[in-house]
Amino acid sequence: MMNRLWKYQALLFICFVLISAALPAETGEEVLRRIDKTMMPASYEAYRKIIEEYPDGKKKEFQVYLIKKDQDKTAMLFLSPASEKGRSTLRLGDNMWLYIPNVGKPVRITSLQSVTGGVFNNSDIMQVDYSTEYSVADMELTPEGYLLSLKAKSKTVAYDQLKMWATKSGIITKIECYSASGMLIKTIEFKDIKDFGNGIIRPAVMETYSPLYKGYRSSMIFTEIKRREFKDEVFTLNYMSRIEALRK
Amino acid sequence: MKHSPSIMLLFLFSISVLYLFPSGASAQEGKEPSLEIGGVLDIPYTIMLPNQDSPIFNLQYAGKPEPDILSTYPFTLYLNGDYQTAEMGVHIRTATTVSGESDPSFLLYELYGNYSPSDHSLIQFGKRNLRWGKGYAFTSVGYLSPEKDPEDPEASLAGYPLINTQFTWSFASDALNNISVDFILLPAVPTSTVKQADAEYTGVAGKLYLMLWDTDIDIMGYYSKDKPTKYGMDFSRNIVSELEVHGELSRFQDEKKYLLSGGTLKMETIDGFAYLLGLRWLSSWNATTIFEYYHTDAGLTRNEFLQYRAYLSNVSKVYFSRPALMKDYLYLKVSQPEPFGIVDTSVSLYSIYNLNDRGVTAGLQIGYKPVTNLELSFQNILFIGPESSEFGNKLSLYKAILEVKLSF
Repeated sequence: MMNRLWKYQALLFICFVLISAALPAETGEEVLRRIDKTMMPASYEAYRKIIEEYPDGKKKEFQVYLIKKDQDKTAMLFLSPASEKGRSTLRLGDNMWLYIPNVGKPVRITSLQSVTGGVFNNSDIMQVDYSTEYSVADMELTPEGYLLSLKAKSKTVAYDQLKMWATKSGIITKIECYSASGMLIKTIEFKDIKDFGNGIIRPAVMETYSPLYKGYRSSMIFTEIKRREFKDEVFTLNYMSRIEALRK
Repeated sequence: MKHSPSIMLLFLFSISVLYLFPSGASAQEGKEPSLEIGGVLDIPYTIMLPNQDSPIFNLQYAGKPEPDILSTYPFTLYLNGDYQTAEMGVHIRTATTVSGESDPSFLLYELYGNYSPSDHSLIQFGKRNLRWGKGYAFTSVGYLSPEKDPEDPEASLAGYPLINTQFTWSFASDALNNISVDFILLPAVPTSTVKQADAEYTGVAGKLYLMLWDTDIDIMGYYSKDKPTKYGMDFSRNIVSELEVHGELSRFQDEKKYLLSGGTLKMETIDGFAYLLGLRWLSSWNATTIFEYYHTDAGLTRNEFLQYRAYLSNVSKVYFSRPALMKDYLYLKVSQPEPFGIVDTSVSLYSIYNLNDRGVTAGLQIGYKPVTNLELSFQNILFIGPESSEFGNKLSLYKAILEVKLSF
């Protein structure tokens, strides 16, 4: 009898394995795309504060208006302080430009620079979809959700590798950014989950610190996010001086 | 173009009246169309070690006691106003400079309106500075703006009266992402003695922009009956993330070139080329390096410059007013934010090398932003070269500038 019981148990286990194998499990790439969709709508406008904290306790605060379309088009307009007002940035894939009203023409910038001068670089501030820049090298299931190991698709991406922690529902909680040599460049923590309306639920605060910038701390706080469609022509060099018109 | 103080007072009065309307004080409030006023109060205090061998110095101080050290203390209020709705906008950029006891001078950099019937199109009309070209310190294709001063390439420059129609199209393609076409009409400008201009001297210009294979490419041209015809192209591209390369090539026809021959001023019309090659590199330690080579056939040769220098006291400098007079220059600038971890500071070193006479201008600038909207800078500039060189011929041998900028 015991022998038959073992046989049934083995049969049930084989069925379990076969059924599990037949079920379509979410791949790492699919999880990453779901995370992108959960974190931000495909096309949106947003307001956010960027706060740079310095080792001496001093703080600098920037107010920006941000727009994004598709996976890799984003533009940003500085609203304050007065010394930065009117500056705008544009990112199309790996290409980035900075427009300064006084200079009067867009100038190419790189993802590793920082238009605000803090721990966040241009790539962090003008983040495009993670699935556009990274492929999933490895995925682990954790009690909270996922730990994804991401590898940059090209050398123009700011960080060669990312470790991304996300909840089962696809909300990022932490990202560690590494260089090609495996050195930790910075850590970004996602906090304060907020309902922005129209189904947009995500962390409102992103805080970053870096072993390379001891004593510095930067944060980005979303104050408003709305779904909005834009024409492709809005994401062009000519439009950089006119982004203000989109707010009216 | 300087205007009388009465115009300046009228402008300031209108600005103060317009201030009665609410302005965009915060991000959220700024969503409603309103007049937004802003600007910079710029106060530079300069001391100069005069170049007593310079003909310019001798011309300026002929018959007067020669000072050992010169100084200037002008202050300029850059006042800007913008009214923007979703479709249209009105913009003004001005500068009012007070220097000593003389009357303030008022300069209207830009005064223009724009109307955007769709995201594809834009019409701009009024006085507008359209800065073309990819060069940082120099440009050979800046047909619609005054020449840059390589000593201060980011300085504001006055625009020209024009009507600009612009069309833009984007494409979801791996090669061509964007096309933009600009048509520009430059109405003839009346002389100071009459109010009407001869319409025959209306200028036309055009520019085609392509974003092709991740490269910015412009092809442009300019024609007016009374000015040199110019056409050219420029490009800019990131070879890798940290390294951008740019270049410009311009062909000009009937460019006026003034020369001195035997002490007599003569004018030639020449055809030729101007070109520029440059790069911008961001190092792993966050220093930005800009390097450019610039050439123009319209510049003076070494011999032509020596002739000009010999007879400088006899000729008006109006004919030799370009910021860079000669043919070939190299430019190098290295900027480092927060050097040695010192927060809120920046250091930059730059050098302009005149390849024709081996003269050098070298500058060191230290910037400090202690609080939001306040910027202090201290700049040292050395002019090095033989007496007969362009930079060795400047009014001063050395300049130190302490500058305070308050943004509002």
